[in-house]
Amino acid sequence: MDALSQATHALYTSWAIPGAFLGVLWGILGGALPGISPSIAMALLLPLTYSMEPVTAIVLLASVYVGAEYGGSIPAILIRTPGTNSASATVIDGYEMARQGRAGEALGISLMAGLVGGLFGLLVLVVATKPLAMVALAFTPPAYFALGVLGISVVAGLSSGSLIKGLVAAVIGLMFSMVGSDPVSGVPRFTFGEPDLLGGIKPLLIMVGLFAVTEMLVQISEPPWAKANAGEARLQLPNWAMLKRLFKPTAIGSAIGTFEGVTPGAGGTIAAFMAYSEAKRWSSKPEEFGKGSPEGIAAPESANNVVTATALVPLLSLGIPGSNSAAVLLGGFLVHGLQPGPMLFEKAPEVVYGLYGGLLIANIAMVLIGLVILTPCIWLVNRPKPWLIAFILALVVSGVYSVHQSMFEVGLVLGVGVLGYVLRFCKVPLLPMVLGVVLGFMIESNYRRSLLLTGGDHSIFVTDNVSLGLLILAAVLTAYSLWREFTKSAAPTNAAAKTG
Amino acid sequence: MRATWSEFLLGLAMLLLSAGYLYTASQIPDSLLSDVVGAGGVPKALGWAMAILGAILCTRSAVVWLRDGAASTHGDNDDASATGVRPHLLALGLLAILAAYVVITPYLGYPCSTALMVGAVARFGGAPFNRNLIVIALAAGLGLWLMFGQLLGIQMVMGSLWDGR
Repeated sequence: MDALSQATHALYTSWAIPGAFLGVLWGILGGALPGISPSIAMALLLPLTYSMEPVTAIVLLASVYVGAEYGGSIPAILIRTPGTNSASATVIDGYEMARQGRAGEALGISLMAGLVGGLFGLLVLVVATKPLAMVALAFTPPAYFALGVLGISVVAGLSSGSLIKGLVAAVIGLMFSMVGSDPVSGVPRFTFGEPDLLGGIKPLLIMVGLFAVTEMLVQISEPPWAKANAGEARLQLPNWAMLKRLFKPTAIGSAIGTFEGVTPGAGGTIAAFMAYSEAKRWSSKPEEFGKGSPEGIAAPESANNVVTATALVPLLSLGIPGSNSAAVLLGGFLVHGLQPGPMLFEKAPEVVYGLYGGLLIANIAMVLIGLVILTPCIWLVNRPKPWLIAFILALVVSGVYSVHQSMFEVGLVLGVGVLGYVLRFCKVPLLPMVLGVVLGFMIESNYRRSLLLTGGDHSIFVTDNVSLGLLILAAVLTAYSLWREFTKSAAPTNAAAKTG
Repeated sequence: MRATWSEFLLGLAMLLLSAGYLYTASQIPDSLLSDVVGAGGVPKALGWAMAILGAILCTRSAVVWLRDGAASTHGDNDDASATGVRPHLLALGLLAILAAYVVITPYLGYPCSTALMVGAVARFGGAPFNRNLIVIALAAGLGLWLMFGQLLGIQMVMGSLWDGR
């Protein structure tokens, strides 16, 4: 009760409530623009917070994070362009629904799943920060390696019926992640003398190329030049029957998002992919996934929105920023003379509880702002196709250029788009490639760090309890997926044999 | 699932990719700071994995080809034969416009080249060439520059042509 009154007092005696609304609005704008990541959107506002009181500043920055993570799903659904890394899993069924003229329904599901995920994450943050902080401490390099392997284990579920082609895509993704300086020795790899490649290729560039540019190359070659499939041109919130259907995938997404959020470095992208894969596994209609399933939106969206709150667990309790966005938030704390860690709850409880209250307001603001802006967004993407393609490409190249002000990266994204076009023509699923790009660095760097610790002894991966548990889980999930693939492909053969 | 001719070509391409990748990985220099795996260790493993996958794709499609005879090779190009090369030429045309954008932006600057690109893509996509096309393209270039350059404070290239360089 004391905490509640402190939160209420902190919010009412500061500009935190307007700050939450402004932060969410700014975050949605940043998240919806390809190339502007949540951390960049936060960093752009950081200098403005110097003169603010601590509660307002921290709530403003955290609200940008909430808004940006949600905002990434808007272009993912409407134009097949994930605004943020973690929205890439939403592309699969979100864009498919939009193509079927169900953009309003898809955006409504993403908004509701985002709200539920955000509120669940906040509940976890408030109730379980201290015990969950121990999870972060249990993660050693072998455990991170095993976590990466667990992430890769969902490839089978994302392979659209062709496991070999899915693996081809995943290996190409992993190959992309090898570009840049070696994580241990710093030796340049696959840079071909190009300084722009020394820092590696950002996963978002690959995603924008694979999804947006590839889709535009496909769209331009598909006449007639009629309007895009207009369908229901306004936002449509899920009804009671749909909410009941979405309960299970949202719960799965929330559980996975909680685990991934409290693990520094794991992040919303892995959470979203794993949530998608598990929601498909446990769904009563798994055949609808990839063809416009509402569950395929609810699971990743709830997962990545849970992460916005649970990623603050290691930051607040241990002072460990588990992501770029958490690092910018840490900067916000430090600017105001606050050191996140165990003592923060004693020294500045009003800031911590004010942040909790601010996150609640931010989630409400997300829904209110979403209700206002989403219908005009749907109207925008229902413009005539030539204009739509032109504006999407202009937005994409502008967003990509804005990351490092590099035309080389714009060219790189176009190259990836061509690769995506060729792979799509060969019916190679693109999502495993995204997974490979996202997880490659994590897997390699932690594998090698683990071996550095043991002088090359691989037994560390089974003697570390967390690593062993995660590797067993990965093996079980892979075996189950393979078994399901096998039984699915064997079923038509058996049926044909019987009828024959 | 039916193995196809395009699958064979994909497998072949992956074999070539793996050969090139393995060669490049073998050229990665050793460092005194290196560990037991080395900077080239994981890339080499990936190269071999790709080679195996490429070989599986080739073998699988070759087995189906030999088993079903040439008849299967006619069916495997269903998509390509139904649509012809025109869609790919259109995609290539769009790609050429985008490549031109990458080349001219450092000279013409972001607002001008973006306006040109928007107009060119819309026209290429079938929008009629009239006053609206010019006005909307110019507005797009200016609007995006205002959003990224002014609102978000990102330094967008203004073009060497205008500052005499």
